[in-house]
Amino acid sequence: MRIAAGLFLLSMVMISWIGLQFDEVYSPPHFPKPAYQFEENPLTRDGIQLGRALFYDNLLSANNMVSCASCHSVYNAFAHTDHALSHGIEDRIGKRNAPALINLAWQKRFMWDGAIHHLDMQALAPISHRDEMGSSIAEVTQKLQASKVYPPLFEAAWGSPEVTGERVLKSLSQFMLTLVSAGSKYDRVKLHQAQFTEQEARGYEVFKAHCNSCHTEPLFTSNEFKNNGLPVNQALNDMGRYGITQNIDDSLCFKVPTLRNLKYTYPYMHDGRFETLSEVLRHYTRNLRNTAKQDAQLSQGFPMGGNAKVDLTAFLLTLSDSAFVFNPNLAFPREILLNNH
Amino acid sequence: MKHWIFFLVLFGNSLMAQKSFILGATLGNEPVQCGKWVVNKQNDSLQVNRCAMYLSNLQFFENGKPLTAPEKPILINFCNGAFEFKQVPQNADSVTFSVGIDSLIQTAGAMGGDLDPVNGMYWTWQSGYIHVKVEAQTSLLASELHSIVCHLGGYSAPFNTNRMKGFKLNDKMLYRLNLDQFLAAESFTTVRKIMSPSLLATKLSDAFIDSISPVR
Ligand code: HEC
Ligand code: HEC
Repeated sequence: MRIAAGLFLLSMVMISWIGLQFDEVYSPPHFPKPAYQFEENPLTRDGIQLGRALFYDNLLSANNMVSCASCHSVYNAFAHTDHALSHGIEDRIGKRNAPALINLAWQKRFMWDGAIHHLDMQALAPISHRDEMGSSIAEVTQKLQASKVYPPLFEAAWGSPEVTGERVLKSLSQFMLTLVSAGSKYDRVKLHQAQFTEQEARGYEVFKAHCNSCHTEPLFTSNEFKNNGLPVNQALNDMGRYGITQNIDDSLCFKVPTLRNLKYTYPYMHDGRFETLSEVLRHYTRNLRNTAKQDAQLSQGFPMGGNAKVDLTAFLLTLSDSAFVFNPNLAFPREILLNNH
Repeated sequence: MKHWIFFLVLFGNSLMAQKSFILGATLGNEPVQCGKWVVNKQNDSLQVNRCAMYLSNLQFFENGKPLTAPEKPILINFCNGAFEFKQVPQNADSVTFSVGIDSLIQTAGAMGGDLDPVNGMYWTWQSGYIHVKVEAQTSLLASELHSIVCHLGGYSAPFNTNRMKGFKLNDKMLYRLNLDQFLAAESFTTVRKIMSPSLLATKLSDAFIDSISPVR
């Protein structure tokens, strides 16, 4: 019952923002200003719907079998849980874990190493990667133009049926910008609509002492690149941010991921090495001092005695937003895609 | 001088019509024909398969004062012929332009027209426009493959590959990218595949801009 009511409320919110300025309507009051420049790509109802269709459409891959949603599933807060490392067309395995797509409007750099500097440009990477969708934006625009479904959708969203790379990318961004998760218990507490249990409140204190400097609330990421002390995975030999900047200080630094919706986004870390939160906490509390080059904040380790770990876990679970994960407006657009291909 | 007449005819400039600024690419001292082997003066065999670049901020001046606003980035594909800019103001006595895309545009999100990623001048695995794309084969290289794949880009320090150039205008307003000169750049003796921002890419960007000169 509660979920149903929540869903209804959320869909009302969704309907009401459409056509309005994003930050006017859906910037949660306790969030900072978004980084995305909405004046360059104002959200519209038709633009979002087109982006949603593109996001779920296998047409974007070379063999018409992989969509963005193959690796970014709504039920996993747009992460991927079957595999530690994502897999793409012809079952080729990539080298990183697909991250959750949450609150992207507040993010400035994308990918675990920040290789992508603008949300609009993100889709080019999977579309072109031979292990992911194995196509190209030029091929995708041709396929969309030739389809029966898309020219009218482009007409509705952009004023003419022409499919261009710019329009494809901006539409995908419009949909991804609606992946706003701010309906967790934590958010309700911040908005004075709920209260933490004693255990959650204790966990919140532990969190603020040990985790908030990197996983900064309310987005639960500082949007920086840090080395959190994970030993390098020998098989992948992934040096993270260093691969982009070639600055030795960035060696083994990865994007600090949000901690929202951890309940749905396992496995964890850039290579999906941990299946459970208790493994993550074991890393932060015990394994830390074994590695030399981790961030200075972590050098002391986190001696968490007594129930601190249990309390912290209870707090982390208050960041789950089931209304986000079960929001029908973000799910597969049956009405557009089902009967048409 | 015969080849320069050819150059003019091929690139469609006419000395009588309105003033045009023309930039073409040459290989073996002839207008480049992509996909065709050429033997140059030194008896090297060369073939260029792709040659494209972004020309940004094209602007004309008189006595140092701007007569025009800087033009938006233009994608030039030299395989399709020379680039001609027809609206040169009558009194213009100098020109400036850059090769590449500045950081403001680089980071502004998806764009259309010449800047649309469908043109194949955008890196997909790491955000950023490819400023210059030259793919060629040459007997200059003592390797089995003889092939060069040179994609230059990068817009922020220390690997910024945007390069500016300025010229006093002469009557012809005819400029060329000398591919013989560029392909002989020293960096190509060590590396033949350049596809990301790097120190080498900055060096090759210097060599590339140095290969653009007026046709006298
Ligand atoms: C084969 C699996 C796969 C497919 C298909 C896929 N992705 Fe991803 N996605 C990933 C992986 C893995 C990463 C992280 C890659 C990295 O960091 O190098 C990622 C990262 C992202 C990010 C960055 C998130 C962040 O927080 O940094 C966005 C946004 C994204 N993908 C959107 C898309 C869109 C849009 C599509 C469809 C056009 C798509 N993805 C298709 C696996 C996939
Ligand atoms: C110095 C900065 C820093 C601190 C402090 C820090 N983390 Fe992290 N955290 C990171 C980075 C960076 C990653 C990603 C590392 C990777 O994938 O290689 C990460 C990843 C995680 C993940 C995996 C999330 C996912 O979606 O894969 C969890 C969970 C996590 N941290 C929880 C915590 C908790 C709980 C604390 C406090 C005990 C904490 N972190 C303290 C930087 C930090």
